[in-house]
Amino acid sequence: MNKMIEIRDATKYFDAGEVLKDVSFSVNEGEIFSVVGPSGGGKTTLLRCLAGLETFSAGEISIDGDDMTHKKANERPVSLVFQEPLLFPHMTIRENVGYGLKFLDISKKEKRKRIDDFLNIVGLPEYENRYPRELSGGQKQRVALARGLILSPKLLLLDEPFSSLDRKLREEMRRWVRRLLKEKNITAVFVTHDQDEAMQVGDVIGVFREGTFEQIGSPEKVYESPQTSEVARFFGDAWVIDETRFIPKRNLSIERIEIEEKVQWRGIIEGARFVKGYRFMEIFLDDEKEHIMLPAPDDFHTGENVYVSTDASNIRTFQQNREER
Amino acid sequence: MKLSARIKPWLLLTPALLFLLLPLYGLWSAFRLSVYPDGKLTGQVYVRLFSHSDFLLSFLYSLWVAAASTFLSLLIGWFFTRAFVPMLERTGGRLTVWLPMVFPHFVWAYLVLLLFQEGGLVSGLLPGNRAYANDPEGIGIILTYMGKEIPFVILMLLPVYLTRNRLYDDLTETLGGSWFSKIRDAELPFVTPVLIETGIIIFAFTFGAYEVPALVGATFPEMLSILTFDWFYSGDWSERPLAFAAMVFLTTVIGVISLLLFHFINKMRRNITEGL
Amino acid sequence: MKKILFWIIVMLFIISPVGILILQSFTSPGSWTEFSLYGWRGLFETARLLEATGTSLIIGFFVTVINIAVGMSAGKALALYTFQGKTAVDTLFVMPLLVPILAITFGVHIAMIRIGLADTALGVILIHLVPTAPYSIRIFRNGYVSLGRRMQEQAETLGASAGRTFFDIELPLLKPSVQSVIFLTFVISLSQYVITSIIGGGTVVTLAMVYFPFLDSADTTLIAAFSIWFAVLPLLFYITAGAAFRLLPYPRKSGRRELF
Repeated sequence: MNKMIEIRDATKYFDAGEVLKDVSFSVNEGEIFSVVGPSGGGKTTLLRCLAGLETFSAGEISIDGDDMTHKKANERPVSLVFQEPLLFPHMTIRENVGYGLKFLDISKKEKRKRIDDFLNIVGLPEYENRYPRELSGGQKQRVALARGLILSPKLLLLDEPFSSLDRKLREEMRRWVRRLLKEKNITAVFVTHDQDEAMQVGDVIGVFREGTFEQIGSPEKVYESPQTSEVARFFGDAWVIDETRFIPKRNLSIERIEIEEKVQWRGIIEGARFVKGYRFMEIFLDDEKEHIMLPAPDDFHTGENVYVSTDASNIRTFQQNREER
Repeated sequence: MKLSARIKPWLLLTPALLFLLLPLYGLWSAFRLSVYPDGKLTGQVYVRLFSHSDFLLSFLYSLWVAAASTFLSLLIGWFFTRAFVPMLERTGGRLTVWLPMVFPHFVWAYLVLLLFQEGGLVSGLLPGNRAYANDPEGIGIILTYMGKEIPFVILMLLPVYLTRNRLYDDLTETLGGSWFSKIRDAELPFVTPVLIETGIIIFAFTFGAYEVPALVGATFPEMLSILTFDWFYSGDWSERPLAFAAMVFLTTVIGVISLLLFHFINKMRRNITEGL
Repeated sequence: MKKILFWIIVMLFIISPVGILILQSFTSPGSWTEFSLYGWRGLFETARLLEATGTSLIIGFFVTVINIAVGMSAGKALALYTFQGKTAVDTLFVMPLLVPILAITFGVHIAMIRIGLADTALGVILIHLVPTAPYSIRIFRNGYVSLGRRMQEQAETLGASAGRTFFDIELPLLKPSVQSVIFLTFVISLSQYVITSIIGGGTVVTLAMVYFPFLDSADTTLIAAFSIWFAVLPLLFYITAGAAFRLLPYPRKSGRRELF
């Protein structure tokens, strides 16, 4: 497949220090690449560098085979959708969607047609002459997306575009955006701090921590076989025993008694929690001094002493060899 | 409970509304005295006013001085603010720039006199050795107002620049916009309402203020404020109604201009404050 | 680079004009180098000056106090309450700045004569409210907007009375607004020549009333000292007001004093 964007050994220094460390990756045409990681890890800086708003201190970037390293933001075939919708408050929805077309050399008729198309795509044709203040948060973000997509960018960058929306709307928007990007075969880099969101939207996941990728791979691969304890802690729902070993949570069970052939940890049930219709128990492990949440059969109750158990064969080790892409 | 909640804001507003009676009464009284000069209603005073060649000249001259002072103060104040936000963010830089505001207008006028009058400190250095104070073009007055009002423009604009969302600049750039579109689309919409409001205040003030033209104005032509002040205090009282009429007319002109502009910026403001 | 340019501009257009006045006030007439207190001595030997300074301070004080009262209450109403006609009231409060002050002063003059306020300090104080109060209302409105309602509601839910809330919460947190109003109001009041002269009728002699005729004298040294005096007074007033503010229980800059 055709590599739409390729980054080689990108580094970025600010006065405060190194923000990006030897970052290399590529995204294939039509692929959505989710960059997920804790806040403050440099994700936004990476995105700004891809957009051309900042320059890499060292390293190269090419888009569709063309070197972009020294191109400014307004010369790159890249659109960026920000965390906030940032609609121009003094322009109508129509003017907002068509804003970027002003800088292109195409006919008025063509511009009108494209704006109509995109107003339809984002489902807001009847709002064309309204002002942003009349729209809801979700609608505004859809307009912002249309405004970026109308330029048919070779690369679309999304910087936590759903974080200002409430939870229910966020779920809906994720599905909608993914479907839209797939339909239009758009190459996108999607930044988020939410692992669910990253998995739901992305074809490929990159776990980004402290200025570099800890692991890049398919959502399933990263989830099932984290390469480092950080990835496992942040991303997978695995229980990390120590820096070399972990157990996927679905392989853990709760027992009332000690069982000879199993590996067991002693703990006490501190309370019940309900997540998306399922009952979980929060167990405090005595020796590890940490909490773990596991699905709970109905007959277990708060205050009981229990054993978190697994077969020895379920204990896995981190594959430290980093996969190259 | 509900009643008191409705009354409370009006209770709080009472002192300010009482204060408003003073200017409102003054304006009303000036108007009354201009149409009832001798106890009966007449438009005679206005007929006299508009056929007075001194008045027309003074009016146009004041218009020129006020418009030039306002325009130049806004333009330079705006350029200065947007160019030097980082320096103005620091207390030292900010306070130094605002220093002229501590001095009354007439002290700044004296400074202009000192520097630009015939044989003044600066006018001697300028080509042609000409004076820019007490000059018939009104340059001295304009210079004085610029010295005082540019810091005021900076005072009004700085908060906008300190709080505005700079991501709009980035957004415009990623959508392909040049530096010019950045200013036009990402900056001016947020700055314009404040700029216009500040402009109205400066324009109204410079149009009708007395102190500065009294010191650095020419003997001819005269600013409107000087002319009306003379009418007000002329020996016989026959010219007093003219003074009232001139001021009522000036108020009307400023009123109409600012009403139009306020209407314009209120609409703009609404889109901006609610659309973010 | 930009920083250098900034200071060059500031140096040329602000610091050096003011610097010239200061230099002139401290040198003997006709010389730029010879230190002399001639100007300042001459200034304070002018009997009318000290008297006028006193008058200006008294008038400025009352104008400021009224401004704080009017501005604070109106600013609070505009910032924290919604009521019918709010936009109209808001625009109405800018109006005094847009009407030529001579129009207003001419108009109230006769009424002031009739009710005996002409030629009195009280009349002058009232007319000085016109160019100052609109600014104060606006400053306090902005102050209350950024303060918001929640802080006071929090205090009230903790059992504080309206009065306690005002002194414990509003006043300390509005300190910057109060300071701006004090400074701005005093400076504007001090700068009024023509309206003071019309309403005060030559009986109420403020500093501006003394300054104007002074300009006809050729004594540049004396005028320079007088000009600087106009900037010194607001600073003195401001510092004194700041000290008075400190007497209030809580609004300390290093607010570490125990509340109990």
